Amino acid sequence: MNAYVRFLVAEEAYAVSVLNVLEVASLGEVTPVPGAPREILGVRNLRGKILPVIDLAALLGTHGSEAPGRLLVAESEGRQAGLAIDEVTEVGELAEPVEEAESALLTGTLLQEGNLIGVLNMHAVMDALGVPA
Amino acid sequence: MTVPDADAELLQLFQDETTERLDDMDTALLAAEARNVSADTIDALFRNAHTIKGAAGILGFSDMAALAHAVEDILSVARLRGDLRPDLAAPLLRATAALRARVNGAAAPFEALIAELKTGLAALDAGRAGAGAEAGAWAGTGAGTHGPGAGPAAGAEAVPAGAETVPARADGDPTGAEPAWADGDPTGAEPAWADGDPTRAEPAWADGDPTRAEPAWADGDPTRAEPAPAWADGDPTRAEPAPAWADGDPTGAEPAWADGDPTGAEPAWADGDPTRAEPAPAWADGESTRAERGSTEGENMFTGGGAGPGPAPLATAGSWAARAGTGRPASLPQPRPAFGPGNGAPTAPAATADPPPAGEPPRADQAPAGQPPRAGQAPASPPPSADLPPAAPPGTAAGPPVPATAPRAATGQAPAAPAHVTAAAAHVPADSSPQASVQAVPAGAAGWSRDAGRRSVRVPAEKIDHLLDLVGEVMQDRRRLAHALGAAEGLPTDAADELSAGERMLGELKDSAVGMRTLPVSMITGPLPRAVRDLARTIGREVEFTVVGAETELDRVILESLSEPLTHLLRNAVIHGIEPPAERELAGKPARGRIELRAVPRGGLVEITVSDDGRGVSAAIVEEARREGSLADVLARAGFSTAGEVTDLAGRGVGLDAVKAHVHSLGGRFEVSSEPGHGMAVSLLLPVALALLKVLLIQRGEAVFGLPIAGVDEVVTVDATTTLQGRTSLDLRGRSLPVVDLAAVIGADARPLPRKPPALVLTADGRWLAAACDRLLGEEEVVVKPLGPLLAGVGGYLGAAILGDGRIALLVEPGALIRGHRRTTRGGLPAPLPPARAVPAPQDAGPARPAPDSRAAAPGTTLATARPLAPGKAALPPDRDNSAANCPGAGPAPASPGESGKILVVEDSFIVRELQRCVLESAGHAVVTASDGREALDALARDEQIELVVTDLEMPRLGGLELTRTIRADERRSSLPVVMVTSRGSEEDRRRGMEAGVDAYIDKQGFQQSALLATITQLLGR
Repeated sequence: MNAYVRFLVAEEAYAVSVLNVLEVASLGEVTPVPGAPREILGVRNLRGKILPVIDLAALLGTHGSEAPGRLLVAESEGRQAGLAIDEVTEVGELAEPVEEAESALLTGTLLQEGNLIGVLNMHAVMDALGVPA
Repeated sequence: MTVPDADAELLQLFQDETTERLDDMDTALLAAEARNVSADTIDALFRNAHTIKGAAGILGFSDMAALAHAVEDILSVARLRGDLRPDLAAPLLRATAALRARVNGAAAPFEALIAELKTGLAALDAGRAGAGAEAGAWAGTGAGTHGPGAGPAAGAEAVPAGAETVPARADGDPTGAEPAWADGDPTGAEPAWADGDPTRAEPAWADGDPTRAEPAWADGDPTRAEPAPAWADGDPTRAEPAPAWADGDPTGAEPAWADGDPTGAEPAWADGDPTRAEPAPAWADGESTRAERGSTEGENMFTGGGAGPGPAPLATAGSWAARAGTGRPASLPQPRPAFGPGNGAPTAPAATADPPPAGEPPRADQAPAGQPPRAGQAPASPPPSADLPPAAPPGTAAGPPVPATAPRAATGQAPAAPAHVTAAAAHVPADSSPQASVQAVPAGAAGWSRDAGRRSVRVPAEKIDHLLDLVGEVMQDRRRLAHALGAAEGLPTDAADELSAGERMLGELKDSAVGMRTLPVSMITGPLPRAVRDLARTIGREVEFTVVGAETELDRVILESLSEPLTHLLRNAVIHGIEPPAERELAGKPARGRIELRAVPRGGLVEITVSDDGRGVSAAIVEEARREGSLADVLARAGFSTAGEVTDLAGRGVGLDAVKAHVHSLGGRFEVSSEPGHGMAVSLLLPVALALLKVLLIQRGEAVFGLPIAGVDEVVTVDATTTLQGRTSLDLRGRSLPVVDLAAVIGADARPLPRKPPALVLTADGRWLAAACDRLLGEEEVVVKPLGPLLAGVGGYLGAAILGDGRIALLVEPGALIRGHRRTTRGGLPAPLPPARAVPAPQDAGPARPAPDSRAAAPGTTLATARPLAPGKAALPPDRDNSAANCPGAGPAPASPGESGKILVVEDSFIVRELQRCVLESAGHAVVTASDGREALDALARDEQIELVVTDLEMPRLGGLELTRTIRADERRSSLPVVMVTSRGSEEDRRRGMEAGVDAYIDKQGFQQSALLATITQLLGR
């Protein structure tokens, strides 16, 4: 059992290990970077630091009906990025993912209290964005 | 052969220091070759070789040590004679080249070279028939015992007793020449090996005086490791207590742990009070902002605090030392095998490793350097204070100053002293092999024996960047505050005063922070003369290479990255520019070609030009450049060669592409000009500081973009445009300029542009493009922040900046826009019509010159925000007066009607020359130009209509003062008005100008076109 941050993106439930989460904040003003890959919404000023913001929904291949409003600042092996999410639902322990996930971006899925939760593989997410480790 | 377990840091230090020394040696040897070397220089040459030898020996690079030794021998003779024969320079230069290669990792055998040098040395000595004492020293005493090599000279053992006494084999190699004559007297006991052990590298002339027993062993005992700053009290003969002398009293025991507590933050005694924990000045942990806890490491080591043996205190001290020197967390170097006999655990008087007190940062550099090796030394056993009687050392050799400090400890230092002493003592290896050498060499390596004038510290660039970042943020915060307060009514006077005072201080802070990141260009131009000479010789050219303006400062990061491009440009100039001497003479040129590297500050920019008087580009290329619109582009096409043949040496154009791209990535500008048969000039216009960049902020759609000032020529209003083949262009003073929507070129979404939008005239590679936007927001100096690795693949951005209101402005690279535009218009995107040339190239009357009226944003000026497109149409805010780029339309200026006579503009920088031409032409004057005084005189002789001369001061061939004097001396022209426009505006310069006959003096830095025009009007009106 490990601690995870559970959150909603595109109205779907996901979780990411607390070890990968630096902070959660409001999405704030995201400045688009023309020419950047589609999944990168732009950059955001996080207390003087330029943080890229990723459209997690798009990356996962889904989309929600409303625009994301929160920012989850994630990190994996020194690579940092902000994930645009709907909201954080809770932080807590989760059982190990049991089901295999179809997406390479997830380490697995699990059923908890009737909800299907996808567990994010931050390393894979960063790789997918082409960030050198 | 390397020492596997040598501390990486120390090796790095060795590499850096040795490279610097080799640079110095090269410069001196080149001078010697030109018969232009002084006795002092020879001295310095010798010392450098000696130190390199010692350091190499210590670190175990015995091959390097042997080669350096051979070099040293020859230099020693030269030194005694006070003269270095030019023919010796070549082999010595080969030796330095070999050493350099070796220090950079190449593993070439040196035997041949060493043998050659020894033969040369023998010849030298043989040549000194009947030399006096020297010869005697050489050949004489103990001659028979000299090792291989020609006769006495080779042995160079000024060993009277046969057995090598003193000097000689500092490196343990009896066959090498020994700097025995450190004191110039080969017969005397050598200072270098004051300790009598020739196998140790000696920092012989630590006090600069080779005749005296060496300071390195300030306490007179060379067997003891000397605390770095042996001469903390300035007296090398006195035993120096560890180091700090934080309290200014070298006689007191100085504990790195001034407060006696090695675990506490230590010392720099920044406040001068050694008894109080101080943040170490030496940035021992590399983090100067934190109180030094020598103990940060100490904590690991000091278990149970205090007297715990073990490297702790040493580590700390050493780490400070090491860190101070290198700015990295110290890792203690391991004992080195290279030490002389019996070298075992090196000593490392911990205490001695203490970084100097805060007030002496230079020491920090020095002391540490000397310390690392010792620091690493594993302490043998922790002898209690009692074990450190002053007399202890002798036997142990390794006795660090600790013993020496013992008495001091007794003199009333903090009670902790004994603890320190203990701690320090703890590091005294039971095995007392003299480690002085270890320390000595590094000390030397660290630059102690270097000229005391150059004091510096090493700080990691990231720290400075961080500082700059903070400064930038503070400034922005300040602006917001000022803005908020300014808006408030009735701000009390004193509050307003404080605000403006603070503004000033902040400005100074910023300059200071930026200044930390800047270095003079000379940092990279050092090895260039040598490289040029070597190359020229190799291919049979005669080249005179000069560097002008090497003191000009530039951001270190930019500077470092320029090394390769500049080297490349120079290679090109030598190989493809300068013709063989015979060819040159046929062409009526002097056999010796001239290549010049010139760095000139231009406000917030620096212009670096590599020019030559060689064959230039061919007429065919000029033609092509005219068609293409850019000589830079034409030449940059890979593989292109103006030499007519492709050799394995780079063609004139190969690599130019990389240089160009690099300059663009810095937000700078790249220009090439050339006249067939007369040479070529490549100019790089770069920002002085990258971290803080002056940009022009514009708004397009919802977003704010910033463009570096260096890439923006001017700002215009897009009013009357014409469309041809689907492409829009506007007429700018007779030139057709393509106009694009910034959003479209960048790929951003935005509402359509308003009518008559402002547009920035961007320039890169000799091309121009007008990028239209919604609004101009103004000019600002911003801290450039990288976009980060996720966005690294997105091209065209220099980074991002955070504006005062927290918004992010993307900083765009002008070249990328222009290239992007060309791509799209060349068929990259669906275009209904054949692409052809996107834009008619700006035509130029001159040969292969970048388009006429190319104006760099004048240094130190702000860009005009608008200018009329066509005469009389002022569409945007009034021009800012101090912008020389503010050239009104080509038609009759709204201002005063011009004078009819011609004005001669004399200026060697083509950018500034064109700029001045523009200013004058727009005011209605006819302009003739010359690039130096001599050309100016020719022009004056040819053209009767020249009525006034505007000249620069510093120019090649004939400068402004000489020109003026010549004009004044010429009856026909003596009353010609002369205006000097120069960046050298000191009282002295002005006085000299006036004396020469200059009529008016205008400062280039704060170039005011109105001032120039007014002055001209006045002078012509007389």
